[in-house]
Amino acid sequence: MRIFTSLLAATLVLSGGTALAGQEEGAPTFAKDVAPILYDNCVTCHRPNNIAPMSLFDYTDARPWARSIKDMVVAREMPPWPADPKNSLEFQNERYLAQADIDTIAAWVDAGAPKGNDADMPVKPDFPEGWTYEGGEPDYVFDLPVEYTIAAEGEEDYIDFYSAMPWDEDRFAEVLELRPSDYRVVHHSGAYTVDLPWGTQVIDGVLHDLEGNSLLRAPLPRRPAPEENDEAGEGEDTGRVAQRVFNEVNLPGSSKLLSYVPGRGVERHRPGTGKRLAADKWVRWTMHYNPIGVEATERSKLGIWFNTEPVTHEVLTRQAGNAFPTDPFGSDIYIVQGEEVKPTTDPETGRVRRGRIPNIPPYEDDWKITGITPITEPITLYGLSPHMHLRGKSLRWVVTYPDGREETILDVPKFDFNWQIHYELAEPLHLPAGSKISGIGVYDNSLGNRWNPGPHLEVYWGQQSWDEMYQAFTVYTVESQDLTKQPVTNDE
Amino acid sequence: MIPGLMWRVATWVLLGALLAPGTALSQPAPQRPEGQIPDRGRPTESGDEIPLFDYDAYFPGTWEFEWRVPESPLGSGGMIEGTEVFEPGQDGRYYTSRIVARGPDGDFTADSRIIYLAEQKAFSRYEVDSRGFEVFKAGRVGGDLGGFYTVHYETPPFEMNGQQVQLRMTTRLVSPVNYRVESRISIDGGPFTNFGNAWWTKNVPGVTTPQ
Repeated sequence: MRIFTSLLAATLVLSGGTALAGQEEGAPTFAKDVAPILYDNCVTCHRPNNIAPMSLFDYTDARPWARSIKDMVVAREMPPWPADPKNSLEFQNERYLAQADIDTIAAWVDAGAPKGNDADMPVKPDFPEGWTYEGGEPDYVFDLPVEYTIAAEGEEDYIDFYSAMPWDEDRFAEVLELRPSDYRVVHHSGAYTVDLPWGTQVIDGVLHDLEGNSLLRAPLPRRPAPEENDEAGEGEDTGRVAQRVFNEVNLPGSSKLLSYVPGRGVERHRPGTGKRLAADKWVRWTMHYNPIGVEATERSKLGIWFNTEPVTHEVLTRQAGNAFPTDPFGSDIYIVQGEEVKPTTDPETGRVRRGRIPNIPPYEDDWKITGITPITEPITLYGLSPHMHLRGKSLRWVVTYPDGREETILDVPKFDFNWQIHYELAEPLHLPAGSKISGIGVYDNSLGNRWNPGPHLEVYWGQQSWDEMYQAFTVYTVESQDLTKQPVTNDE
Repeated sequence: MIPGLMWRVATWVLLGALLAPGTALSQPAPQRPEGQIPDRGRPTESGDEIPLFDYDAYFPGTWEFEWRVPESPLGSGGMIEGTEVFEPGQDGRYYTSRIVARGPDGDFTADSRIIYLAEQKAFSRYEVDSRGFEVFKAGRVGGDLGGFYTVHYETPPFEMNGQQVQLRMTTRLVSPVNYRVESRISIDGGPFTNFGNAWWTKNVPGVTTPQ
């Protein structure tokens, strides 16, 4: 509890709110000492029209918040970094303030938050229009094909839009950024490389059937199946889940380009690795909008920075729990509250499917699910991203090496829906065959979770933020791959 | 049953009730707060109805709050901490509340009269603030199928310390025992800028919300 004395309060009132306290000789100033710290650490978000609620670019922006800035940095609540550094590897996008910088900000505030001389102001960082990535303008920008209107209230289903790939041969992206035009209404969004579902066409960015009927909110057509496999005569499902499988260009995990969720929306890959943007495919925008009480419009952008060096390895994005991409017989492995979710086998097709994951019971405050991926051939791991919803409490990735040694590579002990950072390992991690990646997720459906709107309700697995998701994403390459020595695609 | 046997049975029942913990004569366990979305026994569907927000089930009681504000005509920047007591309503439409708080400029109080018209989804609040201003807020209540209710409201312009101030606020009722106020301020007709995000937490025995 921060208690201000009446003397200080009187000083503040009498000063007319122009100074926090008497300004001291030799004290740090905004121009000379504080602005460089803010420019290096804060203004990626705290700048006009970006995700942070206020800009800290100029003195007039930052000055009213001086006391709060001090409180937040001294408590190390800002810059946000939800991972536990003592129980995680190092990440190249870590955000910490050095103690000396914290001390400088505190001394500046204590000295009355003086502005200093304009001549001392550092050069302002030059962000391309609205983009977070600092590498200049994107090489190519996809615009969401429509400006979408979100109703003031109710429930918005996932909706998909499609943009055609504009090139004749496969390209690779070293950096991608998915950027909403209105952060308030985007619960999350994703960009995928896909083929169009069977029996469809795209008109003005929206999927239609071949008769021209919109499929924006309608089920996709079912593909006729051989009679022996289709006793019910319903045909085959071509919906999103099935589509995802059919559209992997090379290996499972290649279709997903990246997601935007609060705190995340940029993925930087290493030189020589990249996300494939396959020619003749489509970018599928999967948009999940959130009513905010007033009607709003939104049109996201996808910025692409191409690889400049030859790409040897394609970056794959999979979840802990998913079967390994090159293992055709692998199945997903999940352990819920200590019990394995048994896979089921379709008696007709012999296909193995993941069993149903139980719902989260009411008022449960420590409900655990673990996804395990056995690594069947060597990989290089680059990054990890947590995605859960409102009941998400913590998520931890553990690697078990072939000799049985365990290593926690990322621990997010207090999951925060508003800070779902993509954690980029400082050094890529080689994992030999015989290793395992486990993602241990914990959920809190109790009253102790301040974001829980319905602790009395059983929580289902689903798309809405009041349902839950478990997505312990891993980003890696398969080491045996060398794209310079094989055809670019094999998706005939 | 003959009277003597009835007495003996009644005596044993009474003794049993007195001796057994947690039975009839002990205090019933306090009911845990619940959200306002009914248990449908299935996932939500886009056609489901959102129940009207129930003020009486939500607000009455004592809430503690913290609000980190910037410097403005309303006072110095810093943390405001306090308590707001919402009284039960009259006729299910008219309510009052009282804030007792301490901010960077010292202690203050605010007394509010509140009207909530559930069917119209309309919310208004008239506040008399001991810092020297009175403010009227009016807005609309929205919601989603997960149980997040939201009150969007704004004030007409009002004078404070020689400047014209206008506030826009969004109150997100994110849990049965927590709500968040996101506020923006316009000074002298300028653009609305962030005026801080605040948390209110209800005092409920046995419930601790992590900060």
